[in-house]
Amino acid sequence: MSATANPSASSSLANATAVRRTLPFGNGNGNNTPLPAMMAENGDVKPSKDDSDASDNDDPDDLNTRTKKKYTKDRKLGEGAYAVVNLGHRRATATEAAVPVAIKKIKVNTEFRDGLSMDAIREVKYLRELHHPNIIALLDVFSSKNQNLCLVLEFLDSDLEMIIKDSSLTLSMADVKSWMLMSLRGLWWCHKSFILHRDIKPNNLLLSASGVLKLADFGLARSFSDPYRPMTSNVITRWYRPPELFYGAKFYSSAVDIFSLGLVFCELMLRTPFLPGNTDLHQLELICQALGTPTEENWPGVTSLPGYHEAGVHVKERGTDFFMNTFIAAGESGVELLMKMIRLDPRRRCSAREALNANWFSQEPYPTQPVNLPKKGGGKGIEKVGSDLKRKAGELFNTPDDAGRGKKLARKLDFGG
Amino acid sequence: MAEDQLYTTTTQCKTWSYGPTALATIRENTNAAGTRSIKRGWKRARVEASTANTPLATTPIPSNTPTPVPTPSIDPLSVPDPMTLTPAEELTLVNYYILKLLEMSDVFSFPSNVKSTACVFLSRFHLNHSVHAYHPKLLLSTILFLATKTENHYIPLSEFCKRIPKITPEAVLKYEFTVAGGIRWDFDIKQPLRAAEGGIMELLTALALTGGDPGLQTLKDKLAPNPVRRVQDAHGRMKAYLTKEALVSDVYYHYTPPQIFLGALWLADKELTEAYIEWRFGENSTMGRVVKKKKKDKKGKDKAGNGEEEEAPAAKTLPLAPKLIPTVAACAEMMTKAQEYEKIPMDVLKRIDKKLHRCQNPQKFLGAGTPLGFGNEAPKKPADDGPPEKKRKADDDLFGGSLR
Repeated sequence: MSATANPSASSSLANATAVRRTLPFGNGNGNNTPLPAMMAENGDVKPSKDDSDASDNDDPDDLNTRTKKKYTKDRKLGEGAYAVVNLGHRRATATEAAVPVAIKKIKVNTEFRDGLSMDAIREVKYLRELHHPNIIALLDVFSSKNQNLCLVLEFLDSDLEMIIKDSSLTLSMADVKSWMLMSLRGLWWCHKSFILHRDIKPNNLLLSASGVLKLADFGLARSFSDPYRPMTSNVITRWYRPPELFYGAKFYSSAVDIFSLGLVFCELMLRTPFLPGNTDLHQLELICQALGTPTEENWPGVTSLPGYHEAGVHVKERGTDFFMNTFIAAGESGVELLMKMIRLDPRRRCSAREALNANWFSQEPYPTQPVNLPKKGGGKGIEKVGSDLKRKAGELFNTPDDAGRGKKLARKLDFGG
Repeated sequence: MAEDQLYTTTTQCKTWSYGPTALATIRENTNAAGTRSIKRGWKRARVEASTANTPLATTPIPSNTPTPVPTPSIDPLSVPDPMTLTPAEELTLVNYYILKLLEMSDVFSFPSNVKSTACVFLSRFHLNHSVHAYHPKLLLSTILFLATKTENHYIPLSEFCKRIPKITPEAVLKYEFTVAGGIRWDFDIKQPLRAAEGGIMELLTALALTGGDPGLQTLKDKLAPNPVRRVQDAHGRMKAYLTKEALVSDVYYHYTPPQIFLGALWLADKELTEAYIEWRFGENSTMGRVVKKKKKDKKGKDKAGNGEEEEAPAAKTLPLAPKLIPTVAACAEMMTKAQEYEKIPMDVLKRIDKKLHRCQNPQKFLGAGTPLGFGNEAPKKPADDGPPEKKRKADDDLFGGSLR
C-alpha cells in the first residue's frame, strides 16, 4: 500500500495477470469479498466497521476530519489554475511507517459554479474502483475546510514524457517494451472494467521510484456508453487523438485509447511526438500522411461519420514496409503490434488484451525489469510538475495530479502538450 | 479473471453489500447513534432552559414557527425526553423519500441510471446517518443533482433549479460534500440496467434464430404462441420494477446487478424467467458457447450459483439453475415487499415526521436550546423553513406546510 510502487509490482512483469491490490481505504474489506447472494444463507459480513466510530454524532464531517488527520502536508509541488499538488505523508501508525503521498487539492473552480467539477467526480469515481499495479492508486478523499476537494494519491516520481525528453538518457528497445507492457496492462484493466481513459499520453503515464508505470489522470474517463447513448468526441489530447474522433464519431470504443497508446509507442522510439499537429485540421492531415487517408476501402463506414470530410492528401494506408523503415528498431513483431494499434479503422485495431499477447513481448530482448529502467525523477521531476501545473488554465482544467510529480495536466481537449 | 471476480473488486460489493442481519445491525447502530445525539441535545437544552430562566427572551425561536411555544411556567426539567424513531420508522421515512426522489427525477425525465443512482445514494447515506441527524428531505435535490454528475448526465445547476420550485443553487450545493462524504465517495453504482438490456437482447436474438438447438426449441415452446411478443411485454414491466421496487427495497445490498435484473424479470413474467434460466443455465443447457458474449449474465449467475468456484469450466460444473432460481425468487420477493412502502398511509408518515420534528426541536418544548440535526443548526436562517421548499410542490401538503 505504499504509495510508491511496491516491490511486488515489479514482478508483475513476469506474470501478466493483474493483482488486486488492497488499498488503505478505510472501508475496503481487503480480501474478503462478500458474495451477496450467499449471505442470506451463511450469515453476514461483519457490519461496517468504519462507521460505527465511537463518536455518537454520525457526522460525515467527522469521518472527513479523521481522514484528513491521517495525512500531513509538506511542501507544495506545484500549483495551477485548477489544483494544487502537495507532497504529503501518511502518518506513521503503530504498524506502518509513514508513507509519502501526493495530495491534490482541487480548487474551487471559478468558472464552474455547480459544485464538484465533472473532472473531479470522474477521477474519484473511477479511481475508487480501479485497483491495479499499473494504475495510480487513490488512497483517500477528503475535503479541506474551505470545501476544497483533496485527493490523496500514490506518490510517483516522474512521467514518461520526462523520460522521453531527457536527452541524457538512452532508451533501449527492452525499456520501451517494458513501458509498453505496463501501459497495456493498466489499460487492459481499465477496459476490462468498462472504463475508457480518454487521455492517454506520455505525461499521463507516471513512473514510480522503482520504475513501475501507472496510468493517471482519469479526469476525462467514462464508462462505456450504453448502446445508442452518444459520447462526446471532444476528448483526448490532440496529438494522440484517433481519426474517428476528428470525424466526430459519437459512438466509439476502447480502440481510441489503443490508438493513443500506439502513438506513445512511436514517441518512445522517436523521442519526439510522432504526429504533432498544430490544429485539429493539421492533425488530421498528419494522420493521413503518416498512416494513410481514410477511405471506404480501408475503413468501411468512415464517410458516414458526422464530421467526415474529404482529406486533401490522398495516401494509401501504409503497409508494413513504411513502418519497417521508420521503426526498424522495433523489429518485425514490434512493427506488427504497432500497426495493429494505430490502424485507421477502429474496428481493426487490436484490443489491449490482444496486444498483450503479441509475440513481441515474448521475444528477445525481453522487457526490462522496472527497477532497471532509465529514471529521471528527483529534483527535476518536481520542477516539471510545478511548471506543468502553471500552464495555461484553459487548457488544462484539471490537473493532474497525480502524484505528484508526475504530473501532468492534461486535460481537456486541448492539447496540453 | 472471471467476470464475477471483477464484480468483487467494486466498492459496491466490497463496501456496500451486506447480509440481512448485518444490514439490520447497521441500521440499529445508526439509529442508536441518532437517538443518543438527540438525547444529548435535549440534555443541553434542558440545562440551558433551567439556567436562563427567561426562555422567551433568549431563545431564537423562529418567529414564524407555527408550533405553540411552551409557556414559561413549564419546568424544563419535568419535560420528558421525546420518543425517538425506531429503526423501522427511520427506514419508512427514508423509503418514502426515495419514492419522492423518483418523482423528482421524473420531473426532469432523467434516464433510469440517474434515477437509480440517486436512490441508492440516499439509501446508502442513511445507512450510516440517522434521520435524526439528517432529515432526508433536506438532501433530495443535492443527491439528485450529484447523481446527474456522476452518471455523466450533467445539466447546469441553474437549469436544474428552474425545474424545482423554490430551490436555489446554494441550497443544492450546500450539502454536496456532506452527501459525497456520507456515501464514502463511492460514486460508481452498478445498476442492473445493463444486465437487463443485455439479457433481453440475448433472448430476442436467440428467439429470432431458426435453428436446431433443442434447448432453444424448448424455450420457444414454453413461450408459445408468440415468444417475441412475450419477451417484449415482460421487458416493459421489468423496467418498471427496476426503477421502483428495486430501489425502494434493499436488493442492492443483497444481490448482484444481474440477480436483480432476473428478480425484476421474474416479477414481470415468472414462467419466462424460469424458462430463460433453464435454457441458459439448466442441466442440459446448450448455452456454453455463448457464454463468452454475455458477460453480464455470466457475472451474476455464476456468482449466484457457485460463489467461490471457478467459473471457467462453466459447462462442466453443476448446472446453476437449481441454485439460481431460489436466489432470484428471493430477490423478487424482497422487491414485492417493497410495495408496502407505497401503501403506507399518510397519517402514519405524518406521525413519524412529527416525532422527528419534536426530537429535533427541543427549544420548542423546553423553551430553550437550539434545534438539532443537520440543516437545523443555524437559527439565524430559519433552516426549518428554508430547505423544505426544496421539495417539489407536490409534497407541500405532506411534510411541508402542514406539519411545521
